[in-house]
Amino acid sequence: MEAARLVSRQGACAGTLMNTSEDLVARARRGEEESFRLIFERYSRPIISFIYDLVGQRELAEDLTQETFVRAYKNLMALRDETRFSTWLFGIAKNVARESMRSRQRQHRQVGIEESGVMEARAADLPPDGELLSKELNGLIRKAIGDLDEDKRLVFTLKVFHQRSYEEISEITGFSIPKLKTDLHRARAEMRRRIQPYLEVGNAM
Amino acid sequence: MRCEDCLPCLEEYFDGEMSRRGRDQVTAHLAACGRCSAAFSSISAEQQIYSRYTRDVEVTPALWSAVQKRIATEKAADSSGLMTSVRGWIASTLVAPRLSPAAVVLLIAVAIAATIWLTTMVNTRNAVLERATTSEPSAPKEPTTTPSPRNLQPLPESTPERPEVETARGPVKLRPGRVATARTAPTPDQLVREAEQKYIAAIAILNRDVRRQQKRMDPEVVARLDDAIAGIDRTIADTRQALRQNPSDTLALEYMLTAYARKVDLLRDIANY
Repeated sequence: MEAARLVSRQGACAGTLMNTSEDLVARARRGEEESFRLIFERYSRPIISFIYDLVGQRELAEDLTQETFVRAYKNLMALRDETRFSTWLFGIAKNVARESMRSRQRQHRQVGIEESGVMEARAADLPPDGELLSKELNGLIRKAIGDLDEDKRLVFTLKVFHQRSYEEISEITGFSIPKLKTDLHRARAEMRRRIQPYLEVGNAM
Repeated sequence: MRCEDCLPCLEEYFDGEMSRRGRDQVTAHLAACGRCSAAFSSISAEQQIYSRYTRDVEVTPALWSAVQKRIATEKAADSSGLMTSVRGWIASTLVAPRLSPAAVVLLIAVAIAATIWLTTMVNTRNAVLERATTSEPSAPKEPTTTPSPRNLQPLPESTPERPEVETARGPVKLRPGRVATARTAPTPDQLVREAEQKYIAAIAILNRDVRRQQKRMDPEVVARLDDAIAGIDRTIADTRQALRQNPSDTLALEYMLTAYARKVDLLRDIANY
């Protein structure tokens, strides 16, 4: 039957299935487990990175990533627009991370880091070796992110590490665009202050 | 543009969030201003550092296994076999093409019209059968036009022969004195064509706005949107073809109308960009 051929070709969606992510989501919504596994493969890395930036602990980030995908699976039918799946998924991740942080009564300056002994680097103390510098810088950035308040941390990671548009960040966080622009600007200023020695010395290169 | 206007929006410029006009102004200013250009370079340098930031976290196969196990556990806990199949049926119905409110109303109207049409056909057939048991021999058929509410003419008061009216079920002789202004309800095919024409008209209007808007948009975005529209057009063409081959294919009809609705939504979003 012509319609059946169309259905199989179009993936049972009269709108256009323009990219593979939408196709996967459409198929996962129909119960195809393999499609959900492919969705997991595609999004698990950015999601775990995002959650890790928010909570600062590896094992916790893994647990919360698991929770994120389980919730996504259970609520796939509630997704109104398959083209917004990525934004929707990040929204779930944000909620999961926030619930965890609040349940642990975390203060914004107490986001733990797993490496101990990371200090704020000063230009004079920086060893000349590039590789050591990279670890120092990594640790410095991680601590600096953890020291941002929750809203700034959220907006900063979504923009700087995940290149989300202001509109997407607004959708994920629920913040108005003026608020997120202000938070982003202030977060960048704080981070800039922390990594200033690296900018001055040009050690990033 | 002055530096005091440029500096505050450098981050937004770097993030690609400015309007095209604002972007062009900043670009022109940066080309001529060392101070603002240096500030922009700092922002770029920061982003370069952040792009090299790595985290001590990895996605392992165990993580996927854990997700699978949780899903399986929750599925088992949620339902019995009968409930699973009921829920699955509901889910498969819900993931059928979503229709915009306008398309839903239209399909309901089509369904009602189809019901009325079928009922009328059945009644007409019954009336023909009833007359066939009591009618006189029919006069030679006179040429008639396909009836529609617009071109049915009133019957003359006295006529030597009983005129015939063509219906979907064949010629029907009218009883003397019966005024042939009985309106036939529009057929589903007519309703579909009307709906399609309305969509086409709406799309033509929106296309004008879209062409204006596209001049201000990023070429990459424009290309993606063009791809999206081309995909929808392919769906429309395919489903229209399917309907021509099988006019009673309600699934193709649903897909076609949904595709039109999606195109209107997309064009409206672009026009309002």
